[in-house]
Amino acid sequence: MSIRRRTFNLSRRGFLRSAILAGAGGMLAPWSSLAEETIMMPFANGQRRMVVFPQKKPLILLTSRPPQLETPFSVFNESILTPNDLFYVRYHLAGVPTSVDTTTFRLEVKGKVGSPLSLSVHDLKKQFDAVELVAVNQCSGNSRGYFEPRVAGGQWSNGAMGNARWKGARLKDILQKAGIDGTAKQVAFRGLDHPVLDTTPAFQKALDADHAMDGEVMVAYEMNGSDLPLLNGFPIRLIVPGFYATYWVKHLHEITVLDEDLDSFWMKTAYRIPDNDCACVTPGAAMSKTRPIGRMNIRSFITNLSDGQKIAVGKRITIRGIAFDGGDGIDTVQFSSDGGQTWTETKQGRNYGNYSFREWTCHFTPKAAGDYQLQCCAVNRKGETQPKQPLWNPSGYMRNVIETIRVSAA
Amino acid sequence: MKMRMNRTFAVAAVIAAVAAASRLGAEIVTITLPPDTTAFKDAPGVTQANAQCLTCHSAMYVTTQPPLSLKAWTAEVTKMQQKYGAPIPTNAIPELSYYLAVNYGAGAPAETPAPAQVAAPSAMTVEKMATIYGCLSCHQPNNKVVGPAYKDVRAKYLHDPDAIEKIMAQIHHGGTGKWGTAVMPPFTAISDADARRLAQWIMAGTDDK
Repeated sequence: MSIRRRTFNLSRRGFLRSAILAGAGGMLAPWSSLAEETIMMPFANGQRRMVVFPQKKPLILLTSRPPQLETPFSVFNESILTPNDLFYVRYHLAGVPTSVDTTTFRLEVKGKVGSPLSLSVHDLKKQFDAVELVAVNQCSGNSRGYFEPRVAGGQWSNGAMGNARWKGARLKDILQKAGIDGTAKQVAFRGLDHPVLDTTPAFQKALDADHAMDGEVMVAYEMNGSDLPLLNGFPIRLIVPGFYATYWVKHLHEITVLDEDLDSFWMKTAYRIPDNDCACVTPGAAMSKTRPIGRMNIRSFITNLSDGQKIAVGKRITIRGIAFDGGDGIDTVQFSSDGGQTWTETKQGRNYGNYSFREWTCHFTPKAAGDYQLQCCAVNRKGETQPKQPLWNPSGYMRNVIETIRVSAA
Repeated sequence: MKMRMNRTFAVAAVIAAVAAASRLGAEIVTITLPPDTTAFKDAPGVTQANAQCLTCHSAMYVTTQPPLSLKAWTAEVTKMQQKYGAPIPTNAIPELSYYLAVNYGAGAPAETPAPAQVAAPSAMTVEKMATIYGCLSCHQPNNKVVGPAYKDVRAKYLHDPDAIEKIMAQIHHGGTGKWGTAVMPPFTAISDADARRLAQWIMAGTDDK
């Protein structure tokens, strides 16, 4: 039996192929020629290059080592599921695994368990029920570039997110097979990626034990019906529906059940938010009491128009967009063409489940020439909605203000 | 119109080829990451930036930041040292933060004078010099860290009569990515004399002792 080996090298030819492909679908509007292009994010120092990384089409380069690649926003208008080769990439540490051999790769399950496990990807597929779920993966710092005052960190626009159909084994089933101990307090997760220096804290995250056992957290081996791209966590990654992507550990290879809270820089110091209802402080202020970041707040976007676009007076157009939250599900999405003074309800598209992007559409006819401030605002089934003014915190997490797109009709 | 048809056909073939690359059940997946080629601006303090920042991350971590104040840059550099374990000498923090604020930030306040550059280490032992210049942040005698181990550099140039000049050129002009994803930045501020001492030290094989 031959080994199914796939090697993805970067070559001029590979770049051209991807660039041609991108142009063919007409879907990646920010560039049009085969040459490497730059685009400008609408904030200070926002110039970015479009680049091709292995298994990816051109994405917006934030940093090359370790790779941080943003999805061009127009992609979210093309389909509710974000294609694997356009899905954003975010690593913390430059020890990125560049080769994974699933014939030797094992997921270790250890700690406070009755019988530790060592599972191959094949074991995960054969020994556990397969489950599927569509869920949004969004970086905690998505849209950080729009914070005002600006904060240090990855200067993303709105494309550090994606929505995919994940298939895998329930974490609950894996932990039950291992015989999770009654003393379990947290479950910790590590991937194959590692720091350059031994003195840098390895990336390790944890979930409370009852969350890990909720039956929805998943160890995924498929993304949109294919293997995960390596840069999105091949061969397996943790799926934590409704939670920010910092918990979705890539290249997951170690699960440790603990009878105490995980003592990790990445839980105790990094990824902390103000411990209050809005996860916010006065702009520019420091945080006092903090807690680890967790569930996503509610957001919505217009996807088929962009800032500064020209539209025709008297012509009815369809406005399209997406909305999502931390898993309660979208109840309504309202649309405004006058900067939020009056609102009309939009029509929702197919329901892919509470953790997915939800498409919405409405019609709009600009009756007179002039500028229009287009906004959308979602409400979830718990009644939570988006703030009119941006909420601020020193790390630039959880932006969910009602966004505005300015168009002019002529 | 004919050209358009041809192009569409070519594109369809390409789509099929790419789709084949993302099927299910690959057993070994190997990728090659593109080299990290962004360099810091050549200005006073760049030697510190090259030595202290690039061990762990691309210069883009700096170049994409908003115009942060000197205070904010000092906080970032201190965080790298204290939280992320970067081996930044404490006496290098003012010079490095000043470089970042002037070249990638809001500038330095008028009342803040440029900090003294960390002492030119010509009078030091060569090991100390390699530490101060940041060589040892990426290179170790026997093990690959970010760049190649010195024993591998020595093996490459062992029978090369131009070894010293080639290593000196590497120090001054930086690398091309031939040893991996991380590309060595140019250390233009290191004098010829110091670069020669470092090259001779590498070729002398002190790591065996």
